[in-house]
Amino acid sequence: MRKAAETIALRIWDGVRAVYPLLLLLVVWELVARAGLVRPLFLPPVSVVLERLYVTATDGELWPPLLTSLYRSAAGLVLAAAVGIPIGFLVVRNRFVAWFVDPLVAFGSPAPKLALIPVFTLWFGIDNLSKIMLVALTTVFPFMLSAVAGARTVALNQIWAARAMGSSEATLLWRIVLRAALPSLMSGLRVAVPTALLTTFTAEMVAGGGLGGALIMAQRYFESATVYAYLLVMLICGYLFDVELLRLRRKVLHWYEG
Amino acid sequence: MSAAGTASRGIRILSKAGPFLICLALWQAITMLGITDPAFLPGLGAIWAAFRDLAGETTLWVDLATSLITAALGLLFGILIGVPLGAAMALSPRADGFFGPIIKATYSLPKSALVPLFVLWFGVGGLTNILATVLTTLLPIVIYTYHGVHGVPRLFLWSAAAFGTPRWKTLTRIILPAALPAIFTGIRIALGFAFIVTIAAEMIVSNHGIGKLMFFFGDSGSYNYMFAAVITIVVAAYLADRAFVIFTDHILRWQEPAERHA
Amino acid sequence: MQGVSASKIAVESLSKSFDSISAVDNIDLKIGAGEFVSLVGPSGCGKSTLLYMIGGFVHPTSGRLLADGKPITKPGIDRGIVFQDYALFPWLTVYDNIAYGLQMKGCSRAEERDTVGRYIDLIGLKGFETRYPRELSGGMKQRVALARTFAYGPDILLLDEPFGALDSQTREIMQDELLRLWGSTGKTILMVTHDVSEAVYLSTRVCVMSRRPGRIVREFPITLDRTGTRESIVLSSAYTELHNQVWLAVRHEVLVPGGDAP
Repeated sequence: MRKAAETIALRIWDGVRAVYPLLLLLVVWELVARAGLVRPLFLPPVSVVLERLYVTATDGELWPPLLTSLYRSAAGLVLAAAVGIPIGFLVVRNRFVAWFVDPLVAFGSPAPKLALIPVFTLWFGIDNLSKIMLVALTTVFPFMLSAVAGARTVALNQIWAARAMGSSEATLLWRIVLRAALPSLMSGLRVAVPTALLTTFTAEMVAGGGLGGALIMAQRYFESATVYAYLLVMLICGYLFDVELLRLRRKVLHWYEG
Repeated sequence: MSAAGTASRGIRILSKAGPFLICLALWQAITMLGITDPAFLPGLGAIWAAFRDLAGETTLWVDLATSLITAALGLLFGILIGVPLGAAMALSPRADGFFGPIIKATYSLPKSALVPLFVLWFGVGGLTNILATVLTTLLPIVIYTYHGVHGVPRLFLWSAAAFGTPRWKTLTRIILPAALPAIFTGIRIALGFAFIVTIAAEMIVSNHGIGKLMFFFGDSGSYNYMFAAVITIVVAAYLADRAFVIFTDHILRWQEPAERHA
Repeated sequence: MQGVSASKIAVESLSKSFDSISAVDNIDLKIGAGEFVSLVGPSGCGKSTLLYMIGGFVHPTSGRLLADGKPITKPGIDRGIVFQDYALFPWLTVYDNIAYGLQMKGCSRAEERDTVGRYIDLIGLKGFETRYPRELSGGMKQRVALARTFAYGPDILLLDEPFGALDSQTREIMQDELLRLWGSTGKTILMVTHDVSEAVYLSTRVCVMSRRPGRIVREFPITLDRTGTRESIVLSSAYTELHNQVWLAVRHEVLVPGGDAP
């Protein structure tokens, strides 16, 4: 009985230790803001920010831009995966594709794709499509790279065994290669999702719309509490997606020992 | 280098350039065949003419320099703050306990989103952009430095101790060199981020730098100039990355080839 | 039996447990100056742990450790160590690796150059001074590892399976190299090895340890005429007799039924 209580107390203490710097920062923030040490324009108190967040969430002001941003990110990710993963697999199987794609990826990966915002706005307009295409272009690289790495892990003897059992090429591809590449693809996904969100928000801050655009509007009208509130929303979004991805990874890869 | 060596090197370079040449040829073909509106996709010739024009005036170079300096300063401060911080976190559980949660919390926030906030604080100007860049570069540098220092094999530390290495020297002569490959990887990633955030900030605020230039041309419909500016910064970022890789490859020439970066 | 004050290394009633697992149990060992003692035993018997405690890298749970009559609390320049892996600092050249201990001692540049040059000649690596470890074969690396530990002059040398990663031909060459270095410097050497023939070939005394928790169960004084060639030593009946005795003792420990229970 006493041991159970000790364990619970220890768990709580561990939890506190894990977050105490954040709590400390929040407390300092609140005190500094309330004491009037900084202009409320620059640093509104935490309580005011949280209140504003609550208001925008409940009266519906938050949701249209947030959902727009999420839609754009998701659509871009799906497009990037649909293009990037097959190409990645092809790179491992076909020497010409590998020759063609390799220098392009070497150049494109470190290149700042965000610099293409004006180009994409020109081609696809200022609404959803330009953001979706930009997200797709930016996240196609992590998908491709992780597909290549994953396909390469397929042991040759697995393929030989499958061929010996009479599998057709298509079955071969889907069942063996995809499954074997799954751990690597999950890692790629974990990079691609925050990249997609970052790209969407930034493109929106430049070209308008979505949560990024709302953020810029709030700044232009000096609504600092809203600015902080929307930043908090972005932070929470990113965090929630990462947690979900980890959960998904555990579920999908329960057989994977790595 | 022998004649055969030079020839094979030349062939390798041509082989790597091949895909780009094919893409450029496709671009030229599309524009010449009139498949697309020349306003949306200027021909290579028009873009080159625009670039020559810009290169002749000072604007392009001044703006490019502004962007490069912003990115460089952001990266520099990111290194000056991030490397000691990452090392401290790896060596001191207290430092790790304090900064760790802060870093984990801000991990999911796209740092370019801080630009509007910084505009509120500091107004429109170089400081905002540099500060946003610093915060963006801090994350990969701290994380990779942490892992590099943390991962120094304890046998190195034991050997150093047996040789009578004082604690301070262990840090500079053992831990730092052993962690350098990881630190350089973090800096390389931070370099890429620095360019991205710098350009993003300049586009959001658009009062100086290449970002402003791109925007200006886009707004006024001079698309061939806009393309020229975009290509300029993309190439600059690529060259910066290559230069960094060549530099670090030389410093890390002691590494086993298998340990080299991809 | 030597008194405590006459021993170079004295281990008394030494025990070490990791959490609840007993690694080493109540070890007594005395090593005199100039001896070459080998520790052999089944895998996991704690021989490396004992070596690390003498080196000062791991702290005992109970018991006493003395070097030259003084308690061992941490690593020191009186006890050099050579590991099987990570024996050299990969970011330093051959010259710099061998010079490292001398630099920590504060030797003058001239003295350093002199000593390093001597050892490079001694291990037959003249011309390789500016090479990095990654450019060396396994045997060359261990040669440099031995040289750098001999070079700065510790009285005691601790060797943890130094030749374990080498192929058998290289291993034999290295053993003769080690014998030569020991012969010309008269150091006290404590070596951990799983190779019984190596232990008998090199040592003046072989200690056999039991399975975990490790205890010293038998000691074999080795008197061999080492003035001849390797062939003459290995093919002698004295060597064969000793080798068989030690091998049987170790085999006995390997085949003891059950796990850790005393």
